[in-house]
Amino acid sequence: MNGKLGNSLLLWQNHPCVVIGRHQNPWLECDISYLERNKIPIARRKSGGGAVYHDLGNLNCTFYTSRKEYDRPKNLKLICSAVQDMWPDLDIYPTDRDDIEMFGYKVSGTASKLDREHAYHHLTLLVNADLLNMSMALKNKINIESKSTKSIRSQVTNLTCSMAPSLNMESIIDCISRKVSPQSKVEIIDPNEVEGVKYEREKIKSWNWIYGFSPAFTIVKDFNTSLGLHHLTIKVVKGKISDFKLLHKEINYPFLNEILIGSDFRPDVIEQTLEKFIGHELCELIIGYITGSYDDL
Amino acid sequence: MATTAVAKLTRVFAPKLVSYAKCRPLIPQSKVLLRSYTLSATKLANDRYFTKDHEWVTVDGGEATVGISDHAQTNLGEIVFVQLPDVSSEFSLGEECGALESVKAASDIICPLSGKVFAKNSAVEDDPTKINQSPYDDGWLFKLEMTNTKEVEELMNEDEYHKFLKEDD
Repeated sequence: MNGKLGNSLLLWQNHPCVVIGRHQNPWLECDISYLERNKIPIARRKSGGGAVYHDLGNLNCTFYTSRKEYDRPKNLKLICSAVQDMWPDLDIYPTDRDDIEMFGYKVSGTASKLDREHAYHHLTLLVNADLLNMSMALKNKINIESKSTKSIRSQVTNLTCSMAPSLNMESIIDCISRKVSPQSKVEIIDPNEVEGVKYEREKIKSWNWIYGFSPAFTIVKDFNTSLGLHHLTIKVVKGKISDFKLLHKEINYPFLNEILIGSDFRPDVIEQTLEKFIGHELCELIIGYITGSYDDL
Repeated sequence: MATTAVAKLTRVFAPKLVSYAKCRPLIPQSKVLLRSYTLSATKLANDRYFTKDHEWVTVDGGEATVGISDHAQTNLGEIVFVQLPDVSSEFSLGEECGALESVKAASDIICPLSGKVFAKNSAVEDDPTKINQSPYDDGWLFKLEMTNTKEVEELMNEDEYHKFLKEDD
């Protein structure tokens, strides 16, 4: 954060993507094979909190202030009262977890980042998002043990409903802007022109940040093949395999651990090695599991 | 052979030290007062110093231990994750070196002194609430070898930190 924005509210949208919190694990929080098949990218943000799905039916609001003026409840009240002023029939309110609910369903999740001088509080707002795509994208497919921060799953809904027929993305943006700045000093910004974005982009797009920054984790799974039961344990630290044990009552895989230690935990990287040492059937099962391609959780 | 020689040396010297301690006369009261006044005028090892980022530092020779203050942990709320700097990483004073997460907020850990990290507290990585329960003791974060001991002089002592907290409010 470079402080050049001053106190401001940013309203922004993304094409379909998943955004995980700073200390989360993408293999745990989403169905990576579903995202790859549907070309939905994953991003890791620098603020805390859980995994969210964005598409053009979701509105992101970022309240950027000095550290002293950081006040999440105030921002949430502002959004709720803006919506309620315009559409009084909507029962919309902040919760004690700093979410926003409408009629008991979650319509917004919150996260924030604080440094010495500045802070930002950002939240999602489900206006007219593809909730089916969201539930498929945010499905947990792999059993992972980790100290990473876990998302708390809630029942969600969109703001658009028959009680507010005039509510859509355009009218919501308009209504929130007017509440924040009654004289409506709204400026359309090209994110590419914001100072520091190009520098941040390279780091934020890297595999090391999105996947490698995940807190240490362990995958444990049993696989049944024509040769019997195999017990698999994979430990990953900083995105690299630190331990790979494949145990079977009679069969030994003596060199597997030594060869795989230090490799990136990338299925395409592991697959080539695995196939040579353990054969096609078991390799396919293992790779299928760690990529979330199988539905047997 | 070397070990036996060391063991013999210890047996010879230790009894002498014990008996010296028992025989040492009590220091007269006035001399005790004079001694503690002189010591408090200088920076003592294991005294706690504070930064404006609500972090504390204790110094022992060229080594510093870093943590966050009770004020900081109260403001953060329950800490659910701590991202500590790696051992062997180097930082300058004021540089971001890690983060604490609480109630969906990630707060930077700012390095209070320039130096090289030589230890981190894995107990708080396993149980971040230790930082809330014991910010000055079990909840320490990491230790570093200072590269510029003069930087300690810029830090606040406990009294100055309490004044700073009052002004901040």
